[in-house]
Amino acid sequence: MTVMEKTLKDSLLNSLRSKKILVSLVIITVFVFTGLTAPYIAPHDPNKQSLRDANLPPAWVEGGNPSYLLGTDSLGRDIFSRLLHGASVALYVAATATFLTGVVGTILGIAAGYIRGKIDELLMRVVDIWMSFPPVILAIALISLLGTGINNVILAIAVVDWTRFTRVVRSEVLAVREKDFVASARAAGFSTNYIIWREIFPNILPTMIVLATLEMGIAVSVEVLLSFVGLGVKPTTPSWGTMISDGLSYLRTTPTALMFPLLTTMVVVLSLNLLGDGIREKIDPKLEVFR
Amino acid sequence: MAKLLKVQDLKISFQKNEVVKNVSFEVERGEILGLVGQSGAGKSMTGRAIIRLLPSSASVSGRIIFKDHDLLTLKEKEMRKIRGKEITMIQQDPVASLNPAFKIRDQITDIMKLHLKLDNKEAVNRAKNLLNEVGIPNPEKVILKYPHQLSGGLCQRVAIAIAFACNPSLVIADEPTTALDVITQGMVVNLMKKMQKQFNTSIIFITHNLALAANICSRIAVMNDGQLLETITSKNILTESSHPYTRILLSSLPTLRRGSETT
Amino acid sequence: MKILRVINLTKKFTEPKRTFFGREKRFLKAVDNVSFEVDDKEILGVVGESGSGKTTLAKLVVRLYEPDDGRIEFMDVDITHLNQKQLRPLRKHIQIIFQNPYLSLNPRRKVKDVIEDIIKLHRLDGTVSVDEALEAVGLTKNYGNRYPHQLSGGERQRVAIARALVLKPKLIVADEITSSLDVMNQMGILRLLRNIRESWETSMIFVSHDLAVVNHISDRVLVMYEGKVVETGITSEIINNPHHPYTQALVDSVPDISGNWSPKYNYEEKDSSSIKGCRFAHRCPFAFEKCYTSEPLLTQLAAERKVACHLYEKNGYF
Repeated sequence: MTVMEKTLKDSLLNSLRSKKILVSLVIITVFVFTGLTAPYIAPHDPNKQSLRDANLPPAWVEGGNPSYLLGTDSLGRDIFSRLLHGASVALYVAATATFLTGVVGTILGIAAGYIRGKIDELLMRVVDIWMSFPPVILAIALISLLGTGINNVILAIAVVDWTRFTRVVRSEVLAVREKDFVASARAAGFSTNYIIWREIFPNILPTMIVLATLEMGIAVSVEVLLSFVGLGVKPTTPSWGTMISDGLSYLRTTPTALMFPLLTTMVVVLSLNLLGDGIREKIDPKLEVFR
Repeated sequence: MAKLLKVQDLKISFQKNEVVKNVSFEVERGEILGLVGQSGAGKSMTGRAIIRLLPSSASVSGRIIFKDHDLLTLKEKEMRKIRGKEITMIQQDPVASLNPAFKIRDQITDIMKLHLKLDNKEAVNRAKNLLNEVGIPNPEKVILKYPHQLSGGLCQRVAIAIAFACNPSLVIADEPTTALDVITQGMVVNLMKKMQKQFNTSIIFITHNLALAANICSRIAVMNDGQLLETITSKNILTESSHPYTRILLSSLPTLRRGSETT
Repeated sequence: MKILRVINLTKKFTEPKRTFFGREKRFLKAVDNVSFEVDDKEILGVVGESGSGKTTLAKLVVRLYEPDDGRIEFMDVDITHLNQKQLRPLRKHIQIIFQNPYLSLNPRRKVKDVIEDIIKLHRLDGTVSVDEALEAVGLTKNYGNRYPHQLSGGERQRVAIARALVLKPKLIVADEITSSLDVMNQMGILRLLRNIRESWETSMIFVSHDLAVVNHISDRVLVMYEGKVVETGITSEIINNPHHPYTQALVDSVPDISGNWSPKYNYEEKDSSSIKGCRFAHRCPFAFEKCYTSEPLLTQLAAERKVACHLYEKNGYF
């Protein structure tokens, strides 16, 4: 895709000049890296319990054990390894859920925005009705129906949030289709297919990228939230959400068991939002590509 | 010789609002016809009706006979074969009329690949030649640029190149110089005259500037409030024009003659 | 007395230039060392394409911007660096009218309220009435009760002029006020302005990109290019005998209804990033070595003519 060419080549260096993008990109790179390599770099099995080593503080505090870098939780599981594996979970959920909502939202958004007419009316009614359900309840209801587990969490996020993606894509398409260069393409005799893929899509791509980063932030938050209330991943899967709920019960004795997953979640979600924000600032509204 | 284009009783309305009322005119092969009127006169709409690019909310009636076919009765699929190849359009804002996401090269080659079925290499070569024809210096460099990297004047030359790329019979130029400064306007006008002669294309030149039209077009159709008031030859514009509106238009033109108003 | 004296006026805007290492601030001189005067009851035209600095100049004169360098003297008072409070009593003597008649009027106020507001603000009760102001711009009394959306573009522009007139200003700056109007309305406004100059004894600065329009209204004209004045003089003389190559190109490019128009000006757009000499050199058919190295100064050529061009030095004009 040529706009990506331009984005990568011409604008990458320019983007790095934005502090927001630089900082958030660093953090997210670490996040992605750990998420992908957790099984290989985690020093311990995240589920291995050891009652003898339960509730240990971080290695640098008195009483800590250097082999458990950030300490252990109430069941003696290594917090550091669990954090790393939790990153995998969060990454998997974020990437897959965003991909799903992205694909659905893009197809429906373009259909509604470009073709308009009955399709648009029908779709927008559905979106309106869908969005009137309180999202949390919808998610919880879905999980109750399908059961817990990481894939059901992804499904729940996609089912709840596809409407937002669709709406934004639709409004972008509506704006772009009125532009002069789209009229030029129609005047040149190109087919609807060509116009959608060469004229419309590349010019809504930057906004979609911003939306995707924000969507990933939402996905991570929702996964952590659901896991926190026990409706997310299965108990054998380490998640920052379950770590937070476990850590909450032992707040008095080992506050670090709560602090680390909470902090990590906040930092990652914040970085994703910041990245989206930073990219949005870099998009030149006149050109709809990166400056 | 048969007329290239015959517009008969064209009516365009949006809901209850009639923006083009019963307009009829003809265009010969190889002629430049001016469609002149102030904002809202309906001239742009008329131009877009010919290439069938009106918004879907418009209702159109009448006949637009192009090379013996009534364009208004053609299916969209057939119309697409005509657009870009037989009838092309140039728009007012040159930079906005080009796709910001692609290089100039792709924008010119795409249309040639579509209508002339050229392969990539041939298309690129032909594109470079076209850019030369329209007076763009360093076509090899320009072809790799994006529209926002070029000036308005250069972009309009590119748009003209694209409009003539497939050797059309009719070009609809919708206020092609309005967004350009007056010096660039002069250059673009010279270019259009040159291309027209070279390809023997007919041009419908839409503008609000009567003096400009008088210098490019052989005939001028004066429009106001959706109606075509009269058609006059440019050479005799001062003597031939009889409609009161045209007379007022002529007398309102600011000229470079010493503080004078014509009449 | 000179109503307005502008001396070496400069205004810079910063444009961040992106380079590989950090960001350089690049200064763009929107108005660069401009000097001119406006006489009592005179209409001065300012003509140039977009980017020439003419709108910035208009805003500087009415102190909507503060100059970075130079002096502005209005009726012998130095207003260059006065603050908003000090400027307020002077504001009624200098008025500015803008291009877009749709944006300059409050859509929720009736025409007569718009004009009355000004009268009340400056405590002018008794000097000029709303009706008189409307009459002066060719609108009848009943226009007072209308809202802006009930008026055409030309009518709205007349209301904007009425609003400016009510203060009996000594100087009106009109920035492209006819550019959004159709030709008939445009001609009407030009005639109106000429009448106003006579009956209200107001001086004007008329800014436009259209040389033909400027020809219809101005006594003298300033031709601007990229922030600099390239030529100035009596309008009719400049049009009959333009000296600066840019002015020549401008005059050449205005289409004439008589059909004798053949714009022959053609230039290659070269990269003008290293502007050391004349700003116009890269587009000039007559440029020679000196043009690329030193900036020509605006110099007196004849009684009422100044040109900034090395060609005239070369030929022993000065």
